[in-house]
Amino acid sequence: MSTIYDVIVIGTGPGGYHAAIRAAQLGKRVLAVEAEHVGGVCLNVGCIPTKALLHAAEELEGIKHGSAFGLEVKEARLDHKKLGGWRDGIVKKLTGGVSQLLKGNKVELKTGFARFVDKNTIEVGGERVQGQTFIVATGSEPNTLPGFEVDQKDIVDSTGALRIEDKFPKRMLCIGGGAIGLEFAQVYKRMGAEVTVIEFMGQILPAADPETAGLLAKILTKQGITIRTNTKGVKVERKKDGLHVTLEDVKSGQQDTLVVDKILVATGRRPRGKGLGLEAIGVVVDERGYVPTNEKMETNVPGIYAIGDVTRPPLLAHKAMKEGLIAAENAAGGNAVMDYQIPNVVYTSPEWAAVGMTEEEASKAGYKVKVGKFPLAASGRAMTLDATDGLIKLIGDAETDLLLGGHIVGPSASDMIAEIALALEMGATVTDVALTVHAHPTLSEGIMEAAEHLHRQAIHIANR
Amino acid sequence: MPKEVVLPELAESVVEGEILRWLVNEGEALRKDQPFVEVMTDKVTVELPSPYEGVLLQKLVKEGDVVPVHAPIALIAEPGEVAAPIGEKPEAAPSLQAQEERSIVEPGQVAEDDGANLSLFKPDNKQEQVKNPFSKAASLSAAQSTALAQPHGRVIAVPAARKLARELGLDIAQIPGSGPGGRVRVEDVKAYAEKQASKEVRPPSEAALERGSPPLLGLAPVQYKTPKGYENQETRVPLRGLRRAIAQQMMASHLYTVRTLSVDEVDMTELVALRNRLKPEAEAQGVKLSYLPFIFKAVAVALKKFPALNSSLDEARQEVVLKHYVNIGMAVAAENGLIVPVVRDVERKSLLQIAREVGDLAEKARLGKLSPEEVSGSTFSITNIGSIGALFSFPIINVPDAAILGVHSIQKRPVVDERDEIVVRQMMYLSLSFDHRLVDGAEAARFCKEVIRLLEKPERLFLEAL
Repeated sequence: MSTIYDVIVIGTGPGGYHAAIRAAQLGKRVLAVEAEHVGGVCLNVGCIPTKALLHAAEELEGIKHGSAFGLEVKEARLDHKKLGGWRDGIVKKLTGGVSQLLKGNKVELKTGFARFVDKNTIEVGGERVQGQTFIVATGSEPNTLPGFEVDQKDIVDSTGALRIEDKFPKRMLCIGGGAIGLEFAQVYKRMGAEVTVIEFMGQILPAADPETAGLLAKILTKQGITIRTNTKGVKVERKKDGLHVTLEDVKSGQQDTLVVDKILVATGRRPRGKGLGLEAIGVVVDERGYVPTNEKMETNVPGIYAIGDVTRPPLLAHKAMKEGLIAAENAAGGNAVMDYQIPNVVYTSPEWAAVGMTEEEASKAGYKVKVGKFPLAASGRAMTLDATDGLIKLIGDAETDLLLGGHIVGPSASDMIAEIALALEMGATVTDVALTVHAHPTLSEGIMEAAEHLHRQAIHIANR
Repeated sequence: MPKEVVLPELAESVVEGEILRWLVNEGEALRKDQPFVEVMTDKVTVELPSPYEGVLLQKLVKEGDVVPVHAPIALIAEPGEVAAPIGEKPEAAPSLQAQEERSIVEPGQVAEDDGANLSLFKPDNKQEQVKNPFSKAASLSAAQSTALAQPHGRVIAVPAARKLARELGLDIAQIPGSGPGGRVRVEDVKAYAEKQASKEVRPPSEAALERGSPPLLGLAPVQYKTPKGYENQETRVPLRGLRRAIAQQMMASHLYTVRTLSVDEVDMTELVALRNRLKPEAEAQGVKLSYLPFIFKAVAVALKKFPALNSSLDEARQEVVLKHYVNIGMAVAAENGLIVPVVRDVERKSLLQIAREVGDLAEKARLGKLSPEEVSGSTFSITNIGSIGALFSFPIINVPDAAILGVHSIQKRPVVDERDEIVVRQMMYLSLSFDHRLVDGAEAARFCKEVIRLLEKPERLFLEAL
């Protein structure tokens, strides 16, 4: 009789490897199953490699625009091949690191596609493996868009778009004004392409706070990216001079043609809940492929947990990681629940980040909403960074002064948002934030100033 | 926006219910009025009908949880809303293109679910009543600090406190916070846990406490230790549902009454004959006539004459409550355990009516279909030991009643009659168990004698009949 594992984790993306390691730390015998690459989408073709490209693009942009403070560089040139190598090196280092971490925690690893045979058995590569509990962490994959079939050459998804060392386009269209579309738009723009972003909804980042999303759109437009909202791609024709894309204004129905050399399809991601045999063992998989769970990350079948992208939006690595820990702790007999604030970041420059509620959500929830803002144009630190485009915005409750949310556009927004997330978790009031001393000069001072502004006591801006 | 469903008031004076069984899984569709969860209150089980049409989004309580009335038990998504799990933002999902890159913020997603709707099973479609946890909070003084609900429907508590509370099996929402605005801190959780621990050595029945009985000192709950060597020869069954309710009710009775026994016997010969004569007539009307309706009637008449036996003690107010109505509880051994349905207003009902109700209630008890009203409001109880056949029993009082009458099997026995001759008579023992705080021994004996007088010469019941 072969081994019966205590916990079998299916998928080794950020959620999966967190789950596997935590379960092993809690003394469980753990097997991790990976169908493709250890580290999942995030490490291999997601969060990490895109950030490498964004950084290179930003450095390049910085050099080009340093003349304001006297930095003169004759001809800054980016070697795409070398950049690709650097990018791959980082990925290799990190995925290797994850493999080491798994090994170091005595998590066994099996490669192959897992399929459930029954509630305690999966089949991997023709072999049956038994487990007491399972954590499904199969993640998500890019949505397809009819009429824009991805060939990873002319029409690419986020994975294909990473390969900047392949034929670099002169003209680029990004379909989808979400994080992926915007981040790649900026990478390609800064590396020399003419870039258009189309978004079906009325604003980029449709679910975001409209003011900060609108500001980001304005800044990106100023950087030379064409953004068209309320617009959809109808079809594409391949002609000699390029890809002729028919675009349609969803409001007026008016169509026009845009000629580009490359199209990025970034219309969201879909969960990978189907095809695992989950339905056959009684686990509910909804029609879109999500596997619903409760806050303990339990599916409807005892002993089967699900975490990360496959469970529900938002599809974010850090959400998956936390859920992975929670599922592992519960699988080991604990009693953990997912009741945390989930920050959200777009890594363009300037960055956009948010956590907690928007004004609209807060007032819908019955709060008496009060808003405090601090534009980075009033920040000394932002001026010395030559990056005054941005805004820090806090949402509070007028009656109790409870902090409800924060929205930031600006450099390092991704790091600054952590302060607001902590404040929300701690149940801080806006006064708590205002009274916390922030070093000067920093960008994070702006959070303190926004809190003061919410009480109409800001020092550096008019308190209107 | 998902709607919150709260535990409704299932009957007057019912303050909590135990979640017995979920009939619908999370993610499953619900019709309006479709039973979706089984709840037990005061020993009866009811299936709650869904107040809305939609999808059961989330169960907020587990099977076995005891939930106060008006506490949220489930989230139901409206039809058309995504059959989504917890925390998902209901979305319009236009075209694929519109399905924006998911890694972007969905700041709404957690918040949307918080539209905690306090409607008590009354769907209020016109205006969603949105709970504002702070409107109340604003008027609270800092000292009064109660844990406040936070965005996303949780209490304002630091993460470490939330985690600790979970590990200790405490409901963070119940823990008073000492921080500004009622924030729950780790120290608050520890203090609450200690308080709970000291509370646990007090009597098990909160209900009894509510009746104002003095707390017992130094009574620790009994802990069971498996004898060495028998570790694998025992089964542990959680104390749940009816068994838990029975245990609590019995303990309350044991601890909060001064139970005293008075035993007597009754010559049922004439009643046996009378009942045999009436039986076919009752049957013609579709009613099975047993001895119980006669006993009910005799007891009702006797209670009118001895009101102390039809009273309750309100200790909190130091008052004896004398009831001018007779509601008789009858102990029924249902499959899952003892249950006591109540025949109301016995003094105003005919024998046939009582017989019919006794039959209906016994049947419902066996099927587990009693409503909360049908098991509450007794003023006196009768337990029929006869059917199974112990010689004597010492019944336990169905608190807050003052007494319970045990009736036994009717058996032919040799009896010395008034002419000093030994004759064969149909005899039955009566055991009256009464709370000596409310009823004196002589009074109890006289009450028994009155019941006996009526049963031995059942025509006397006509004199008392309304």
